Amino acid sequence: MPTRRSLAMLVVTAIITALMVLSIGFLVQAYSAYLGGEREAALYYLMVGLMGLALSGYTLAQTVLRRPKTPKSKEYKVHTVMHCLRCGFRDLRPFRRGDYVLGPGDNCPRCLTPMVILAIYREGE
Amino acid sequence: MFSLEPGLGVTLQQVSGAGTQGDILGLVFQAIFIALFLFSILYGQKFQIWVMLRNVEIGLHKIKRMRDEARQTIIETLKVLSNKPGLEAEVDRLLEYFWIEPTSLDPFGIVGKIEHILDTREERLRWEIKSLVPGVDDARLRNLEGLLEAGSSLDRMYRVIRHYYLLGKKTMSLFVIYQADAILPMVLQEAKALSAAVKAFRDGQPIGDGAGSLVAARFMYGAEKRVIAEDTVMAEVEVDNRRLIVVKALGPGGNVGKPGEAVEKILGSRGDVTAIIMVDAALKLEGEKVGEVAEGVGAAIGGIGVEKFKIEEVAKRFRVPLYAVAIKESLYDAISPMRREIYVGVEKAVERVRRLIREKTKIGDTILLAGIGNTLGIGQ
Repeated sequence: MPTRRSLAMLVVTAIITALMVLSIGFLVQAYSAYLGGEREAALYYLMVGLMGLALSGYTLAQTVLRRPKTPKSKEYKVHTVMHCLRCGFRDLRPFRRGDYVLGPGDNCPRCLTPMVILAIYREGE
Repeated sequence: MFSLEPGLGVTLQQVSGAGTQGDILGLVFQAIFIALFLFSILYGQKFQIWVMLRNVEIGLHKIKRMRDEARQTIIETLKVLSNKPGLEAEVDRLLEYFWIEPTSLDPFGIVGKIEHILDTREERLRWEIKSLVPGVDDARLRNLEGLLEAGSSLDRMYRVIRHYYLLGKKTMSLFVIYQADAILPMVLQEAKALSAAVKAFRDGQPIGDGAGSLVAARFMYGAEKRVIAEDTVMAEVEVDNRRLIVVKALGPGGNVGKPGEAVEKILGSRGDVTAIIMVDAALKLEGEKVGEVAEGVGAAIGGIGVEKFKIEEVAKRFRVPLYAVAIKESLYDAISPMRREIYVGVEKAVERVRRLIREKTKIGDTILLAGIGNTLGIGQ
């Protein structure tokens, strides 16, 4: 299957890990340079270290660590709109299997005659 | 200020202090950086290919999940209706069912050939469903047909993307992988839409594509209907002192009918039709609102083009103007359960048709209104 780890993935992982270790090394160097009073050198090491860390972290997140998410299939809330042709009453209820537009709906709560299904739709996204 | 240009080693040595440990460490860092630099020059493109391949792999995995889910839904739906053994193998066989487009080397008569092949395919598919679920009623048969077609499209999509993924992996060709990666967002959108369509067909809920059909249904409600062509009904009603002949696919099963054949028959049998109004759902452009109604001229009908060809031919032959009303929606909206905005669009389209009738025809005229689209979950 496509998710199998390949040699290319291992090589890329190794390179990114090397870059990450290197960046951490630069950060350690920055710290020791700062303690030694070399502020310019410390700033340089810090800048290089952070850049390397950001680059390797981003690449790692985008490639090796990226896993296919299980797509969640949407279950929509579908409504059935019913209309009483005799008294004009309108009612809305969740869709039931067997409902269809212009088909028979429930009885009208006002005049007890069967209503007609006027529309079936889902709300929003 | 430090220069990262020539003499990087010297600069690093300067900044890393005079100590021996600092010198060695600096040299090691330089060596690794040079190695990474060389790697990016020599293998940069390969790395890019690898990143794209990974992207396609993730997309492929998503499509596979959707295809498997659709297959499971189809099997579960059929199991409720039939206890025939070996249902899963039968479903797998039907999902791989294909049709071969006729050759267009000599395009003369190609529309008829396409229609013939599609009719054969449809007939065959219905026969297969009937043999799986004996005694199934017509509306459910059409829904099962739609369900299988959506599943089949997802299956084909998965197999095509898998083909390009494996081909790209095998050849490491940038162009093969690039193409697959470039079309992937659109393919995923379509796959999601088909996934939603599977649920709509399972439950018999109206889909966005049925907007045109719903407009026609609103006009023909209460009138006497008769079947004019295969899976297509017509009714005659009076609107603003004009005679309106309304045509739509036979609902509430998932049907598109044969509106081309119906229009051909109506125009051929009576010479008093002064205008044809077609209402259909149309693909909106990005930035346009769902449910917007637009007006124009021409045959408002999608699909492969067989029905469109017939309508255009017959309208030209009888010199009847073709007016079009379109309800805009995205591809996803077209095959997923109908959105409220589309229903509002249907209401607007009904008013637009009435206005069109008043503006473009005279009292006593006969007008043909064709509501195009899948009539799943829409009666008449």
